This record gives sequence, C-alpha cells and structure tokens, in this order.
Amino acid sequence: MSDKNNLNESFLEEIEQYLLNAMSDEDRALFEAKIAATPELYKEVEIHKDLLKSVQVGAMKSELETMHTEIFPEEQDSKKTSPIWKWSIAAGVAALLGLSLFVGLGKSQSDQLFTEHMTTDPGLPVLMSAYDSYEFYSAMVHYKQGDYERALSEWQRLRKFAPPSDTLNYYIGSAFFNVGDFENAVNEFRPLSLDGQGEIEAKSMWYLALSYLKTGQTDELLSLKPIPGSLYEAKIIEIQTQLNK
Amino acid sequence: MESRKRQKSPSEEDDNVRSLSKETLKQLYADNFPSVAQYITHNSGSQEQAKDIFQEALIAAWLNVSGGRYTGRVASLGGYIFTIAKHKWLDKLKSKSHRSTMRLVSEEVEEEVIEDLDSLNDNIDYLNKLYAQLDEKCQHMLKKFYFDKMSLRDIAVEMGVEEASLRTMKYRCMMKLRKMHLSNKENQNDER
Repeated sequence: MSDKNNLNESFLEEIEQYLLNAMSDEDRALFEAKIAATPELYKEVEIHKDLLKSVQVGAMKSELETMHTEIFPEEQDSKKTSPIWKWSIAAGVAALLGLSLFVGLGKSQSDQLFTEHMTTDPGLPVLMSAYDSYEFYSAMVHYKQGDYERALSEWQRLRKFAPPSDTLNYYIGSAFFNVGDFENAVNEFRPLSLDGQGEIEAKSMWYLALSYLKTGQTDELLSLKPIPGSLYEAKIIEIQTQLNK
Repeated sequence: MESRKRQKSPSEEDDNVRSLSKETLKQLYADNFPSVAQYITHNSGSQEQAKDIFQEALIAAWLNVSGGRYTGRVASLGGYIFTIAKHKWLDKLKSKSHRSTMRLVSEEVEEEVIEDLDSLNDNIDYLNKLYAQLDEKCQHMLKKFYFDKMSLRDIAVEMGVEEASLRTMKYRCMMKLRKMHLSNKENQNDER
C-alpha cells in the first residue's frame, strides 16, 4: 500500500476523494470502516490531511501577499517616505499656514505663543501603560489619519467599559486638542499632568500648557511646574517667560 | 471561471459564517491590517513583521471559519483576527517582554481564541514552510487544483500539457510533499 517515500497512485486518489468529500455516502461509509480497521490507512489519511492543509495554507499565503500589494500599493513607496514623515511635513505646513494667518490677523499674545509652540502628538507609542485592545488601535488608525473626531468618539465609547487608563485618557485629551475643543482638552490633561514624573505626565503638562494658551488661562499656565529634566521643561519655561514679559 | 459577486459589507453578512469569499477576505484585510500594524509597530515590531503576523492571523481565522471552529459572525471577525495577531505577537516577544498588558475588550472572544491558538499558530507556520519547499511548478499546479478548485482538464489546458501528464505530475508533487513532511517529522522526533 505504501512505503516511506511513495504511495500507490490509486490509493492516494482514494484518500483524496475521501478527504475532499468526493465519495458517495455508501463508499464513504465503507472507507471509514476500512480506516477504523487499518491503522496504516488511518495514519496515511492523517498525513494526507496535513499535506492538503499545507497546500491550502501556502496558497492562501501567496494570495494574501498579492492582496496586500493591491490594497496598500503605496506601502512600497512609503518605505522611502514613511507616513510619520508625511504627517510631520503636513503638520509643519499647517503650522506655517497657521502662523502666517495668526500673525497677519494680529491675534493676542497667547494665540501667537500657541501658534509658535504648537505641536501635534502624532500618535506614537506612549510606553507607560500599553493598551492592547482592538478598539484602541482601530481608533488610533483614525487619529493618525487626522480623523480626530472619529478617534475621539471611539475612544470615548471605549472608556465607558474599559479599565481606567492614563494612555486612553491622554489620547482622548489629544483628540480634543486636535479638534480644537481646548476646554475639554484641559479637563483631560490637567489630572494627568499632576500625578507623577513620567513621560505621560510631561506630555500632558505640555499640551495642558498649550490648551491654557487657547483658553486664556494664563494664571494657571504660569503656575505650572514643569517636570525637571523632561523634554518639555524648557519649552514650558520659555512660554511662561514670554508671558511674563 | 471566477464568479463576480457583489462585495458584502460585514453588516450585510450578519449570519454565522462557514466560509469566507475572496471578496470578504479582501475586505477583512483592508479593514483590519492597519489596526494590527499599529499594535505591532507600537510594540517593538516592524511593518514587515506586522504583515507576516497579520497574514498568519487571517489564515488562522479562515481555517477556523472553514473548519467550523469559529461560530461568531462576520462582523466580529475583525476583533477575532486582532486577538489572534496580538496573541501571536506577544508569544514572539515573550522571551524579552517585560511589559504588562491590559485586557480590555473582547474578553469572551479572547479566552476562546487563546485556548487552541498555540498549536494552530505553530502549525500554520510549519505548513506554510512545507509548501514553500516545493518547486514553483508543483506549487502552481497544486494551488490550481486544491485551492482554486480547478479541474485537471482546465489546468492542463492552461499549462499546455496533456491531462494524463498533469495527473502524473500532481501525483509526483504530492509524493514530494509527503516525503518532505515525513522527513521533517522524523527530524522532529530525533530532536526530542
């Protein structure tokens, strides 16, 4: 019936017909009885199941490779220019446009400072508490694509049943900030900036300072005590100094 | 010939599923790869690794759907695939992982998924490598017959060979695959 390297061709076809459901009910019943009575046949059927699955998996993998190229054709080019760079460039252009508009219209000192210092969190990892839910990352995709309202609404929905998380609160604050709802951004960033000395607190304080510029809460901004040694310490002090002039 | 069906959105296809059409797979790919890529690139992985993990997760989901092990709805497949991908990636990181992860959502799905994932994931990786060991001609022929479900006659016409020769070729390719598989198993047993 079989040896280590080969299997009789008609025997192989019989196994295949069985596994591919190409047998009549009667033949199937007979074959199953044969399997039950013949350990060697049982073993061959199991081996053949693996072989058919291997073809299925390998073929599907090659289909998915093609699918990937069809769905994300820009990915090949983006290896040269990453999306982060694209967003940075877009943010830079937006900031420049904003700067000229604000200067041109002669806005208040707070607005000018805001425009001068404004940054946007691109949605890069915040490592303090890794969020690993499908919903969180799905919303993050919208956030990174600049669809802040959709990200905000998905994160707010998630917060209703998710365990408390600084990461989630921080990104909700960032989404509020990016849609221009600075009052709500303040409400999110303020508690985060007061509790601890880590990166998320430092970033929250930075965006809290920027939000204060937009809400006109200069006293609150001046009373902020930047986290020593943080990336944002010098920037916050600079804004405070300029406000004090 | 490939049938041209209108693409169904997950919300239209709300019943429990037993198979996934190519169109549905493509939709699932487009909808869910970005989230998985976000997760993996946020957790020490590259875009290329994200692609491999996502594809293996999608294959696992597809096998579970066609094998009747996934009894949910198409609309829930996104979360199911994400959970498989996440579990697979965390497995990869396990040796160097020092991060605590927080389970937030899809708890029920997650528990069910994780139960039989380890063996499934290892198996997918192995089965894919086994197929990749075949020469291109065998891969092409076997894919047409077992995956695309083309008849030997149609494949013979497409490849410009006699049907009888193709039947022999198919047999030889399957024997090659069997020989490699048995040899891998032997090596595995020797290592134990």
